Amino acid sequence: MPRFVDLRELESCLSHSEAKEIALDEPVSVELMHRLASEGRLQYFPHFPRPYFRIDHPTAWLIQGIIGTPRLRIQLFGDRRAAALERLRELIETPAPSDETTKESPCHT
Amino acid sequence: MRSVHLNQAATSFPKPREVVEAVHAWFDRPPVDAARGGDGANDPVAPCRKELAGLLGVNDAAGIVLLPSATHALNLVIGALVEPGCHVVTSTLEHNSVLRPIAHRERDIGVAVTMIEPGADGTLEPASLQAALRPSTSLVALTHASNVTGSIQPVEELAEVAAAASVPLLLDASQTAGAVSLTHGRLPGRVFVAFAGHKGLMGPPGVGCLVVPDSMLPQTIVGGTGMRSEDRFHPPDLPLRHEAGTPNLPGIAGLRAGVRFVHRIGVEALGAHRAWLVERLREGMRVMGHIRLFPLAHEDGRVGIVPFCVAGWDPDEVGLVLRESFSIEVRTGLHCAPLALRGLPGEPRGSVRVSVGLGTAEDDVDLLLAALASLEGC
Repeated sequence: MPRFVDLRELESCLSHSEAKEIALDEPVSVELMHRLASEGRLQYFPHFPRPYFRIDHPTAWLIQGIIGTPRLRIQLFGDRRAAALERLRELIETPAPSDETTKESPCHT
Repeated sequence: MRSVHLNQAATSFPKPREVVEAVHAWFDRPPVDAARGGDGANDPVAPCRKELAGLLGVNDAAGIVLLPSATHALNLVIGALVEPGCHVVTSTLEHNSVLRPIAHRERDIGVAVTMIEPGADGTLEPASLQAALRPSTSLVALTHASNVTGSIQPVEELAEVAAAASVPLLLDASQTAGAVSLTHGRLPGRVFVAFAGHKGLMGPPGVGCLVVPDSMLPQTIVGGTGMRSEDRFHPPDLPLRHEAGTPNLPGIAGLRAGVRFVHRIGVEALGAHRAWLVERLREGMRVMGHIRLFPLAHEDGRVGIVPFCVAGWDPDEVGLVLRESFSIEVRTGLHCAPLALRGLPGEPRGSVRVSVGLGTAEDDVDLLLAALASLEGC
């Protein structure tokens, strides 16, 4: 189970883009990706040399990551960003039930 | 996986071996102040000025002022020549290193600013500059080539217009130095040229240059020069007139080697290499239905820049995927030139900018094209 070890602001060319990077103590796995996708729409690109995914939460966040790297790039939206970040931490650090289903975009599977 | 650097417009990579060796060599020998005697073996400043003067057709190497960056050079001129009550002409193609110093003068001392815009081909019309000039215009500040679109400006014609009105021209040649020939001595009027040493000139970061046409530019940065210490005031003569403090000697040593390298290969040949790679990129992208080349992308590819968008993808995400999944480094966003894409589709999310250089191989371009092809339909 990965641990959330650091959070840093990412410099962006656009001031309205508030991207952050979560550092984990182990690489992102497919299992973690699916766990995060339990609260959003997953787009997964396994055919890329290093598989890429993005998860769009309807109102709270966008997560982007690479399978095998210990980092997640996130953007938080709305008025409850602190709560959203805490929920992300829970999702990362708490294993989900194994029978959990996700909504994957068909063009990216 | 091999890393591919397609962000050469930001800084060139890899640097020629002789540049790296020149920097190392500077650190391997005790610093020597050539102005106080000695053989000058470890003083790269005067030789670097001479190399730059030769490359840029500057009649007197004393007119080559070495500074920490092109941004410093641009600020030096804008700060000195844009005074209260003045009017300045610039363009929407400019980098923030021009736009922001002017914006600060506008906010702080109330100068008037006119922005001219490029035509459909991405270039600035001399007639637009002519129309923008006023009796109070004290400076025209324009880029030689856009760092967003790569469009090369008709600098001779623009200089003619400024010269006819007796208005100094400040040219930002950061994207063209080492890629597009420029002969300062042939430009009419009072022309200042600012550029970075770490892009097309292949030097290390930390050295910029300002070509000054005379010793009339007011001094704004003064201090220690290592000579004439008893004088209360900073030396008035070029080039020390605008140089204060300890120079970046290892950086200047590297820049000297870079300029010699560029001289040896030839600016025309370097520009032709970029143009060839740009054409290969464009050919590959044109057949991809999901790639949209920006309409202002200049047909002349010597600067080596190709701006585009990918259907269904935010430019920033394209950059992330290319870097993290494919190990290809490009630049995304507004490229510190926030007005350059004004009015075009895709604003304000910017563009993906691929930029090639001497260190770019055909294979690098093909790797990018393959990566972009895999984004189709997503």
